[in-house]
Amino acid sequence: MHMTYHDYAQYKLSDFLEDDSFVRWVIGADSRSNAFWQTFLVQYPDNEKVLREAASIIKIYRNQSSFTNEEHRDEVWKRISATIHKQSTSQTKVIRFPIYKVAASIALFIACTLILWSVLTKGTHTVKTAFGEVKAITLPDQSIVMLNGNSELTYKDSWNDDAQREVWIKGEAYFDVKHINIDTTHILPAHRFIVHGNGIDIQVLGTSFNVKSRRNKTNIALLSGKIEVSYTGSSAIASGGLVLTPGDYVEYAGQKLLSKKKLVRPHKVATWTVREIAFIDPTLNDIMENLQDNYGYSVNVEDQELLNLRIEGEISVTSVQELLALASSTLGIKIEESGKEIIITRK
Amino acid sequence: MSSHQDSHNILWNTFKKGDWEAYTSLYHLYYRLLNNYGYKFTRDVNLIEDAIHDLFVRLWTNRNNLGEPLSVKNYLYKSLRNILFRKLRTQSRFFTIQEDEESIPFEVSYDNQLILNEEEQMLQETIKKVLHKLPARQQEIIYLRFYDGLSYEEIADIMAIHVNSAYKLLYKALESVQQSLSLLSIATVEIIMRTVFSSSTSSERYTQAHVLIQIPISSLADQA
Repeated sequence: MHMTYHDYAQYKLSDFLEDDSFVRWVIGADSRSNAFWQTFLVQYPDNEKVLREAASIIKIYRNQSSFTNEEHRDEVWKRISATIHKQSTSQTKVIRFPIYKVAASIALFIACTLILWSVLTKGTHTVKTAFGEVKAITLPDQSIVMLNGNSELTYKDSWNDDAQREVWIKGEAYFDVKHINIDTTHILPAHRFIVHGNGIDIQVLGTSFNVKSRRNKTNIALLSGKIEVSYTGSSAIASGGLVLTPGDYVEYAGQKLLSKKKLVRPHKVATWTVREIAFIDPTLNDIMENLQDNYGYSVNVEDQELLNLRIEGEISVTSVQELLALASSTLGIKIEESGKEIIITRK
Repeated sequence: MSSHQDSHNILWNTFKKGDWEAYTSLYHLYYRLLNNYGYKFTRDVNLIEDAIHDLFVRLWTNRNNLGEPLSVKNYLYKSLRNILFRKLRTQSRFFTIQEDEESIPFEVSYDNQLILNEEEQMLQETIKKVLHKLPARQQEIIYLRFYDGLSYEEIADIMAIHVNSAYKLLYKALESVQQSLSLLSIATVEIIMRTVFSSSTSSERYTQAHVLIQIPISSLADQA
């Protein structure tokens, strides 16, 4: 924040209304500045009146009715996908027929039936990715999950306010969880978001983090917010749940904590979400495991010793071919790729 | 940049590479916001839906030529606005030929209200009256500013004006609001402030914290 308390002390009503950080704070877009404004009010109590006036004008203004057109959401979407579909075959324009309304009501009926069915049968939804594929998934609460290759995410079809939000993960995923807890002293079940991994549970209150659960090992990197990790089948308190803060990186083997460290640049662990392959000080083994897990390669090594070779520094490439070329030239070894098989030999 | 924006940018980049699921997610994330923004320009729901349809079809067709926008929201608002304006102009041409942007209205509505007390209602009535008298573009800038919380740079980008003009436009609008408010002589207005003074970290605007605050409106006259 560039402005100082003293600067704000000179502010008139219209100045507050024009100030970027003030407006963002009032509309709740910038909770980090809560402390700043509270301190300001303590230091300059005389300015409280004008500050609150400015805030109330914005609040009252925002208290307007909103038009969401929710009932046509699916119909509009169907028109969009229909047009795109038609465009790929011919360039004819889509003409709207009343039949869309009929179709929409039939679709609505089917949707209702499906929802009812899934509630009754407690249906679950599973999204799987193939090797080398990255998928973006929007959960029922609008949280976003990026699923890396050869991974699987399962969640219940219907989420309601009485139940906690739960997902099950195999493989690797990046989570951006929607924060819906308002009062930290009064947490409702739906405010909780739990990720179930290999023997461990991660409890979240709105945050972004990366989970990788492969080869019986689970590692978690926290990018922002706060999460608590506990072992499946025991309450957090009983098992002494581990609370992570941003930058923390932990590795588990089943229910055993192997290591905990602080990452200098935690965002690096999620580079795969933009289809980038990245490593920090990797061994050849780290690279090969990644290619097996995410892309489905099989690896053939002449001498297992070679796997311990390490590349110092950061690697960031966009294709497997680029990665192999880089590894072979840096380590002075021969790496051949034939189909889905990688053969590593000495030069 | 919030992690929220980060993830929307990730979606945007994934979509640009031809990912249908990311594209679908963008539609669902912005559908309500775009409808709400469009509704301020016209009450013709079909026209808004057509504009959203055109916007998303164009987005998919041109995905290879899309740049890196200021923010995803900015890009979508700006495009929707352009498409809507073009449609509204073609429509109005049947009656009179109008090229002026000012001829396209902008109106926020307070029809079905959340429960407000008497004083709040009075303050709201005043705000309504003041806003109603403002030129359309001034009303729009207040909306983008106080409802969407956009910066001057973002507003200028959406409305296709210079950043300095955005400053001036908002200044003019706020001046009018302030003048009219100073005419109010209610002794005290009790406002149930929403998230302002709670320590919440949520950015949801539909949530309520209950803090009772007293605001003497008469003192506004001092600043006018």
